[in-house]
Amino acid sequence: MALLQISEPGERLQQPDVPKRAIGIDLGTTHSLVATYMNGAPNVLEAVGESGLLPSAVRYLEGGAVEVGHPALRAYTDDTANSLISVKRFMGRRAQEHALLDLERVNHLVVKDGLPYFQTVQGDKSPVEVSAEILKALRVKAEAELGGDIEGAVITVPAYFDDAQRQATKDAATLAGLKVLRLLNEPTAAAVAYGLDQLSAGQYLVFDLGGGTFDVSILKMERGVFQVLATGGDSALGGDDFDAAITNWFMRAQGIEQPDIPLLREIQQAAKLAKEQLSRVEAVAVSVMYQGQQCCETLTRECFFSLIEPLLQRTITICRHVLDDAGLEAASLDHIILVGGSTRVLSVADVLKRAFDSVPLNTLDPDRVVAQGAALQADALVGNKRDDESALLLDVTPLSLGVETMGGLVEKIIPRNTAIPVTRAQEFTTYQDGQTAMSIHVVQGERERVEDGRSLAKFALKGIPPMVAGAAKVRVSYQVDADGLLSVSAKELTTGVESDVQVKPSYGLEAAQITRMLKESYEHAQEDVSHRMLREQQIDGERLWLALNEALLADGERLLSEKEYSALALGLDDLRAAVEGADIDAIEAEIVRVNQASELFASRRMDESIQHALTGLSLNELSDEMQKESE
Amino acid sequence: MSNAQLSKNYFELFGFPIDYDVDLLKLHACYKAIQQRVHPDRFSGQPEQQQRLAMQWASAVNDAYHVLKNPLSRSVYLLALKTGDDRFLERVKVSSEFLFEQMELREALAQLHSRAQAVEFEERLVDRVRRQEAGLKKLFQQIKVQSEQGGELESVAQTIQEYRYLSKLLEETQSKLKASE
Repeated sequence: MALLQISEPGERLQQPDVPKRAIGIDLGTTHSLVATYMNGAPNVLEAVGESGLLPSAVRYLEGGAVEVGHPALRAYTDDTANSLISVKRFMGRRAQEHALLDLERVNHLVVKDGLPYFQTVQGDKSPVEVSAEILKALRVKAEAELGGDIEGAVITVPAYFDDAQRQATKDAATLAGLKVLRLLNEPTAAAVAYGLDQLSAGQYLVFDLGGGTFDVSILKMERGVFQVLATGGDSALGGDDFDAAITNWFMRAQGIEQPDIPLLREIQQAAKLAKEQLSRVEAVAVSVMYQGQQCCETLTRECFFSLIEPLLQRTITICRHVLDDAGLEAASLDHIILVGGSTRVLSVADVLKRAFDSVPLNTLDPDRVVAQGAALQADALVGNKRDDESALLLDVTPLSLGVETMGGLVEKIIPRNTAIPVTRAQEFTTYQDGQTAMSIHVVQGERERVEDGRSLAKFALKGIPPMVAGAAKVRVSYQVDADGLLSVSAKELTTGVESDVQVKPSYGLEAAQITRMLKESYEHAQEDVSHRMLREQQIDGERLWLALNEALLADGERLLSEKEYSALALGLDDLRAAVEGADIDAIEAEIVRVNQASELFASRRMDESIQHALTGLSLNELSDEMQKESE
Repeated sequence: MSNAQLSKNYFELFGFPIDYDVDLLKLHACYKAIQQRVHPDRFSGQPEQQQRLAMQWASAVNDAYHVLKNPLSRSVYLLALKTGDDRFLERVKVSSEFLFEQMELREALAQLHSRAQAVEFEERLVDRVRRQEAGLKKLFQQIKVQSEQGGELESVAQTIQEYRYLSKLLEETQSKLKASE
C-alpha cells in the first residue's frame, strides 16, 4: 500500500531533537522548591546566593505588586493583613474547620459561603490565589534559568490530601499558567528520588513530616515498578503544630491570655526559631516584646520533647494503621525513609527508632528530596526517557469514597488504598412510588455517618420515568484518575437517563471563575490574550499531529485497512492546514475530529502492545521474576 | 467502545485459563507487564483519545488484579462467569448445618474473656478458613472435569458463602485482637 498523503512535516511541525523542559514543584507549607532533570541528575534550581528553598510566604502590596519569599516573610509580623504564610493548610478547606483553628487566630479572615478568604489591600484573596502566586514565582524562576517555555510540571501533594485539596492545588497551578503533567504524592516522589541510586528492591516505609502535613506510605519497589501498598496520614499535622505547642506553652508561662495578631505572630516566629535551634543546642531562650517589656522563657530540649510527644505518638499510631492496611509487620520493612523538614527535630528519629527498632534513613536532604523526585517524574512524563528507563509508579487513593444512603449513612464505593486509576460502580434504586429524581451525595472519608465525612458534591439525576418503588435501577459510577481526582456519573439503566458531574468540590472555584482569573492575569501582564490563546491552540494541534503521524508511520499499514488509513491521513492533512492558519475555532474543530477518527487505531495499537507485553513475558523471564520474589 | 480486549474477562485479560487455580507470582508479573504498557503515565502528552483509553485500560487491569489476587473475590467472580448470573450467589440458601455452626462461632466469640482465649479462637478460625478454602478448590476442580450441572454450582455457591462468612469473622477477631494489644 502506498503511503498516502503523508507529507514531510513542515518546518513549524518539526520536532526539535532537544529534550523538553519539564519541572517538578514541591509546593510546601513552609517552603516551596522547583527542580529539573539535567546533566543526569535532578537539580533544585537555586539562584546565586540562595538556598533554593523559597519561603511559602506571599505579601500583597498597595498598588498591585506582589512579593513572594523572603521579603514577604520578613514583613510577616509587621504587615499582618497582607503577609501570609502556611496557606497550604487552608487549601480546599472550609472556614472554622478544626484543622485551621491555630491558623485562623493569626490571620485576618473573612468568610464567604463558608470559605475562608484573606483580607488584603488588594482585596479578598482565596488560598488558591495565594498559592498560585507562589507557583507563579517558581515558574518564572524556572523559565529564567532554563531559558524558555516550560513544557509542563509535576506538582506534589501530600498523599493524604482529599479530593478538594487536590483539586485546589491543580486550580492554583492552572492559575499560575502551568500545565500540570501529574499531581504526584509527596512520599511517592521521595521514593522515586531515593530509588534512583540509593535503594534496592524491597519494602519501604516513607515517613514524611512537613510544615503542615504528615504522610506515611508503604511502597514495594521492584525492577521497573514502584507500587504503593498503603498510605495514610493527617493533612493537618506538621512542624507548624510544634510551633503552636511552643507558642501555647510560652503564653501559659507568661500569663498572656488575649494576644492580638501581631503579638501572636511574633511569639509564633520566636517559637519556630527556638524549635530549629533545639536541633543543635540543649536549651534556648524564647523572648518577645510584650506591653513594652522583654518577656523571656527558657525552653530545654527535654521540655520541648514532652510538649510534642503527643503529636509524635499520633504519627506512630498512624504508621501502625498503615502497616496493618498494607498487611505487613514492621519487621518486614527494609527501611524507614525520613522526608520533610520537620524530621530534623531530633526526637522524631528517636521515637521511630524506639517504635520500630530500625534506624531511619535520611541520606538525601529531607527538604529537597520531594522536588527532586517530582523533577525525575516530570522528565519521564514529557517523554525524555524511554519507558524502560523510568520506573512506573502505581499509587493508591488515601481515603474511601462513598455515597450517602438512607438514614445519613455512607456506603463505600471505592475503599481507601485502592490502586488508581480506578472505576467502580454501584446500583441503587428508588424508594418511593413514582419517584422521578434521585439525589446523589458524594462523600469522602472513613466514617460511617455522612456528617462525619467530607462532603465533595451533591447532584441530582432527574427525568427518571415514574415507576413503583424499587423498580428503577440507578448505576452510580466513580472514577478516580491518575492524579487522584474523582469524577462521578449516574445513569438510570432501564431508560438510559444519564447525568455526569466532574466533582468540583464545594470549596469554591468554578471552571469559569478560573478562566476569568487567568484572563485577568494575562491582561495584567499586558500580554496579548488572543495571541496567546491562538498559540496554545496551535501547540495542542501540533502535538496531536506529531503523535499521530508518528504512530501512523509506525503501525498504520499493519493495523488499518487501506480505507481507514487514508481517512485518517486525510484528517491529519486537514489538521495541519488548520494549525498553519490562525482560526482558533477551526483548529479546535479539527482536533476534536481527528481525536474521534483515531479512536479505532488507538485501541488496536493498545491491544497489540498488550499482546506484546504478555508474550514478551517469556518463561525465562517469568521464572527469573519468581526467583527474585521468593528470595 | 470498539475494544475487543477491554471486554474480555479478567482471566483472559492476563492470558490465564478460566480456573480457580491462579499462580499468584505469575499474576503479579503479568499485572506489572501490562501496567507498564497501559498506565496513563506512559501516554502523557499523547492525544486525548489515547489518554482516555489508557485510563480505561489501567482501571480494568487494576480491578482484574485486585479480584484475581484474593481467593474469595476470585471465586465469587468465577462463579458469576460460570453461571452467567451476577446474583446467583446471593440467591442460594445457606445450609442449616452452617447456620448452626455460625451461631456456635458467634457465641464462642462473645464469650472470650482472656487474650489467651482470643488467640486460641483465632487459631481455630484460621484453620477453619483454610479448610474451607481447600474444599472450595476441590469443588472447582470437580466441576472442571465433570460436565457442569446446576446442582454442583449451587454447592459451590454455598461453599463460597460460608467461606465469605468465615473470612469476615476472622477479620473481626483479628481486629479485636489488635485493638487489645
